[in-house]
Amino acid sequence: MNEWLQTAQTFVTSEAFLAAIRAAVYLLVGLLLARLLSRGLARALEDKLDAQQVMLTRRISFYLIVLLVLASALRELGFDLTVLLGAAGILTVALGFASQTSASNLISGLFLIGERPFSVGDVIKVGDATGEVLSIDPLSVKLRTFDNLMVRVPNETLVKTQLTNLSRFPIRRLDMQIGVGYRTDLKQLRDVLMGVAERNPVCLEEPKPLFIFLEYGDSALKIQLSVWARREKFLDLRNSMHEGVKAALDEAGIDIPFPQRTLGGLDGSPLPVRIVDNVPEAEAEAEASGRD
Amino acid sequence: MPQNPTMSTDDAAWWGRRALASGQHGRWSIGPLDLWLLHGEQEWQMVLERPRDPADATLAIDVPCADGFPADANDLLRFAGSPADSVPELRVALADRPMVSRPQNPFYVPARGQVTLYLSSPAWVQLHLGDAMVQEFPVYTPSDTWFGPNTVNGELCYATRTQARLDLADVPVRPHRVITPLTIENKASDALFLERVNLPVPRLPVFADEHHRLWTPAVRMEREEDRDMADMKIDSGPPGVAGGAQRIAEPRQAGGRHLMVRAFTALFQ
Repeated sequence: MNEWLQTAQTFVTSEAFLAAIRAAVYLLVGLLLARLLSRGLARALEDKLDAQQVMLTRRISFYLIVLLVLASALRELGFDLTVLLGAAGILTVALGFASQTSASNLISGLFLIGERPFSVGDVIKVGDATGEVLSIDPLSVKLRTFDNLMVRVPNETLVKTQLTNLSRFPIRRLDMQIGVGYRTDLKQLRDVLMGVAERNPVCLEEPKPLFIFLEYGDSALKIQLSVWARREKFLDLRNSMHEGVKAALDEAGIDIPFPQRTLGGLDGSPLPVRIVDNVPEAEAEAEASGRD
Repeated sequence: MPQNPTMSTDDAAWWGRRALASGQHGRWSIGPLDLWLLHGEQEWQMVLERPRDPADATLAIDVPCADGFPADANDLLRFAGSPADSVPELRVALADRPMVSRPQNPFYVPARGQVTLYLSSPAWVQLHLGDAMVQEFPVYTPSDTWFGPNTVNGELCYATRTQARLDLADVPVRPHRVITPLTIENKASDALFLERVNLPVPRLPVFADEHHRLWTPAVRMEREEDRDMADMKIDSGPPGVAGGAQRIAEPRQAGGRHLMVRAFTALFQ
């Protein structure tokens, strides 16, 4: 029994045991400190940054402190950190090569959060996908498209390609391309279209609707009517304006022509057309042989 | 508050409580709006129709109404639960966004001069059944508009076209419009071109005078030299021209009666 106690006492008073205790205390206090500090930092920055940035600051500060604490604890236990760091360097290179894509996405994610081209809840368009941003994660951004599909867009793609944020500004413009017959009085057309815009409560009164003459098209005079709406009402505007314009043009007797072609001679005269009932035999034969 | 449940009247106020027995329905015709309300056994039913022009000055309250209730209307709304003693109440409110008035013909306020003009804004109707508000709707839906120096900075407002009358006698009496006497003082050394004026109506209370005409307090806007914001002051009481006025609605947005607003398009830089 005495021997056992003595062994225990030797062990407890040994340098190694004390170092282990010190390391454990370092770890415990360090973890607590890391948590408290990162939380405090997040709370202090809550008003200045958005949710994503606050979360990132919190995580980075937490892991940085944990890393320092871990290094101190290991040193206390007698590890030579220079060797460990050297090994970590080699490991990092190996890992870097292996996880090139993930690393690139991770870094792109950091850039995205820093640049803030969009935030959660915004509607964005990337390539073919248009949808609401559900989350901005370290590797990818998740979108919910309007037909309720989840689209995962890698962060690297978002940094590299063109991205349109549809909900950054409160108002949006709708450009309506309208083709009208060549006989249309453009002044009357302008009045009719402006009247439709003015009567539509969704269409903003200011910025004023724009009437732009585009070109003398093949079959129609091409006009652009540009009207503005709140971005939430954009779809309403699109439907109600097209409906209103069609009804107003019908009422004013202005036609929206189908593609058409006028045939005529070089001097503008119509092409002579001959309708023949009794084709002489010789002529019919010649035509038949020509066809062969 | 008017309490006559059987009268069809043209000179009463359209707001306030009006009793409606179970099985009966009523019609409130306020300018362009017809509001139908039916007191059913188990529910209330409401139909909104806007058969008239926004400038129409109709005022008729038929409670109960002899004409048939439009039960086949598409936008019929039902409110379940109708205690026999619950009395519907209409309240007046102003728009939930600022109102931008564009005078039909823009004019200039001379340098170091001032002008008082009468602007009118469409009223919103709040329907209360029992203690709670169940619906809110404008008498007519004004057009949306944008008020700001560009399409990025600015705020969403409602638009109204106004005659910007300088004489109160010229202002038409319409039951669904709330009149604001607005004094603009130009303290700068150049004339102020008045093309559009932004009136922050959510900050204004509503008063009703003895002729049941609706008013907001008088508002004063001062344009200082070298400043793109106008100094706006809202009176605490009803305007002097509104005889025997009673306060009938509180402002939507609380806040001081003294504020700085972007009020004139001419000052956008």
